[in-house]
Amino acid sequence: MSDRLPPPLLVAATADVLRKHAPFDAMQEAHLALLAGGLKLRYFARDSVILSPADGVIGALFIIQRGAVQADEPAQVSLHTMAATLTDGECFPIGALIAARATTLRYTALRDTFCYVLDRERFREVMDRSPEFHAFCTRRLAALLAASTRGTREAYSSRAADELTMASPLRNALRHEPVTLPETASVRQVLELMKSRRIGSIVLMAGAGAPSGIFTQTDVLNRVALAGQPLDRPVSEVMTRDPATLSAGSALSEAAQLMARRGFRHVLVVEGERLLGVISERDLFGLQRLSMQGLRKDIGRAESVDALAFAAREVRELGTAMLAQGVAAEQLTQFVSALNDAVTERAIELAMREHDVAGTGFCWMGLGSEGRNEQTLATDQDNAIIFPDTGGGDREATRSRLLAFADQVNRTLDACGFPLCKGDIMARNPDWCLSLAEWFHRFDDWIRNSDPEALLNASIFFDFRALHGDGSLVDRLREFLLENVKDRPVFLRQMAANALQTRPPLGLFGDIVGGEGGTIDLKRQASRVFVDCARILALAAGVGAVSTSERLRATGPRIRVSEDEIATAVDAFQFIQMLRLRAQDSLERGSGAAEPNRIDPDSLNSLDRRILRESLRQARKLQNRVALDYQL
Amino acid sequence: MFASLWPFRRPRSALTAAGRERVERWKRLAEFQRGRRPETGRWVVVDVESSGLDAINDSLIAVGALAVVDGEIDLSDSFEAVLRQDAPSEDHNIEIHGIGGTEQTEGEDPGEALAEFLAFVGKDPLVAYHAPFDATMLRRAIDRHLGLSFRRPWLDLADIAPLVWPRYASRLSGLDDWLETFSIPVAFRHRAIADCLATAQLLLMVLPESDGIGAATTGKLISLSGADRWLS
Repeated sequence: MSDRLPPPLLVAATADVLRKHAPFDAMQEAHLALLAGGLKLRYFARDSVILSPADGVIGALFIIQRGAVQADEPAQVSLHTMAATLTDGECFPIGALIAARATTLRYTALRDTFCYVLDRERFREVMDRSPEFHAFCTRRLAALLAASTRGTREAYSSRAADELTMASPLRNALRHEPVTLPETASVRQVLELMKSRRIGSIVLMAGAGAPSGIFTQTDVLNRVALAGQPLDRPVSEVMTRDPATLSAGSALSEAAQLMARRGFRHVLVVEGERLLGVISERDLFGLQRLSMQGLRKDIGRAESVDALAFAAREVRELGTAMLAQGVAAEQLTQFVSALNDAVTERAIELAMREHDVAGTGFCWMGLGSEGRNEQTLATDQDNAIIFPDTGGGDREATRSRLLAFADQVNRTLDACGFPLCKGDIMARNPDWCLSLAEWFHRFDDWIRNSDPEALLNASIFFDFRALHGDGSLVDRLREFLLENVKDRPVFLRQMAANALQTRPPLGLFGDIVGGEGGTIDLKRQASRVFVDCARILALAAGVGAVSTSERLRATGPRIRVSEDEIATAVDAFQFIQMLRLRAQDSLERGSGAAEPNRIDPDSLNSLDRRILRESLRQARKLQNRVALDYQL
Repeated sequence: MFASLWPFRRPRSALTAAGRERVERWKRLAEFQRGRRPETGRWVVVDVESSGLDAINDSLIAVGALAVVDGEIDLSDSFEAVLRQDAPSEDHNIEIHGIGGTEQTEGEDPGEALAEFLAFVGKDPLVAYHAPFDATMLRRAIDRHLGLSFRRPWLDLADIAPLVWPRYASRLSGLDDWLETFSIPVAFRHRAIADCLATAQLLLMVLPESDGIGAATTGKLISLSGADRWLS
């Protein structure tokens, strides 16, 4: 044999094929070349089995070059089994390969399929070197979630057809050709072009014809006008160098994330080397906000309870539409919460026209899921009032004025689709319309006694958030809570014991174990586990965040849990929230089970069932952490 | 140019010791097993680029080869060489394969490159689309530069593909037709190694179908293709 190197063309051509897909598009050149140089190419005729549990320990990664592969559970005989289909650029079986075990799924070629094969040694080597590839392989849950989101979108596609969604490629959202100038142009030339073309940004090109910077409207103010820069200076001195770039096939949501994470307002869109255009924050959020902002205005302008109730119904419909677009559960619940907040605020404003309570300095608080910004589509009311201590004996007079006002707000909200709370945790209840000092006393009482009722109350009231009025009262209440809870380990331990009473429905072998009729309660057996554990961890660490995701993210670094682990736990929680949203949505459309939070795991497709299993495992892991902390 | 008229073979001493060693080792290699199953063992897909379409008078410019082992293309088990030309081929020819004049005149020593080619292919069966052209070009070049008779068994996919997929056969004639039908991508058509990769993918699809055309063995499959006449 000769010892000459393989022709670089083959490796380069293969790398080009891979680069069309995630995660290869994000990998560094050298790492991708290392991967491509180790590939073999195999052919599987239609209907042939590529891999199955019978093959034993998995020794290689399969990447689909072209074709379609179905992944299903060979043992599963169920009408509900809806297998996942993998297509060009997708990899399998990552989990089994990393764990050096057999695959639990059977992979069959749905049509004639070519797969690249990467042996385990080279796979490990690439994982070690490339952080992007490593993240892709180890954050499988996230990858699976992405696949599931795609599935959600497909399932709803008949209702959301042809709309430009957050999952559409950037290429489809570009509205005009890029407007460019050489970077040697003067600031004046740039401004003149921006004005004559009525555009918000110009891309500056380096000599070689590659984009070297971007200059935007905001820069005019900050870097030219306010900085007193003369207009004849070259724009290269004031432009933003190396602007953020994404390939044209990336999803709009990726651009949105990049902007949110890095604080950019513009992202260049390229195809290979070629600049296709610029996508701005406004382009992106125009998509969602058209309806969001319109709705918000309708809510703010509602002059009657009927008009407000109508707008609230539209909030639910928007929620359904966003669910169909595959918007992640965290964003979705935040949008829904934000709009629900607006409804509450308007209900308060309407009631204040008839009740003179402005002078009391009260603050309306959202509690429980509303407090955590985790409202699903079917949420009943949990609210309370906090008002300042005025010193004299007029506290009861203030309270009775506020109670009459609160009663009207609670009834308006009921009319708007937020049912009255069965446990009467509402602002119109004298027990929950308290002055700051009274709230201190109440919280202190719960923390000291930690009886079952106190613990139950704590789980609702400790998730509080200001919705209307003087937020500083709420801040002081939170400071008080964090100060006092940290000196009471007994209370936290009781809370932990309580949180461990419901275990996630997993069997001995990690399978999902259903209760009555094979169903599981997503709220009680899954999402509450995350919520309760996050509350305990956050309170113990003195973290003031209220939403479960924020609590986990803020607490993780303080209790030495890696970012990846936290991210996985958050993904798992959000997936369960998404399943709840989906179940509630199908209930509203009359096709779901009688109880909004109960689902039959067998009714899920096999991919979602796997993710649910993995998510429940994450819940159990979180519980184990709490159990360890409190030696329970 | 005059060299091709020179009646005597190129002296062996022009090869380096390593080159001579490669040739000698190749001569001693054992033949492949004609009785083995077609989807097992090693095949070598070969493609050549030349100064023109006349297999007798045009000269060999580049050769690419890619192995298929046990039904699997190993991208690293591949070979490509551009052979040094005394003068570059004509412009319209360069436009086809994209190997420019400088690249041609600064190519590898043809004897050394072909010795390495022999080492790469060994005595495994060769595969090409329209094999007689590749076979003739290689046989002439190896004869001229190494003084060696290179008569090997070739599997010609231009003969086999219509047997495997008769319903396409009437419509499809060239390699491009088959590649298009099966959506086989080619990075750079007419670049030897890229054509090898495309042809190899066609071979991967053919091998599992051997039984269907009555070829249970490698030898039988080769004999179904007319190119077997090159077997000495």
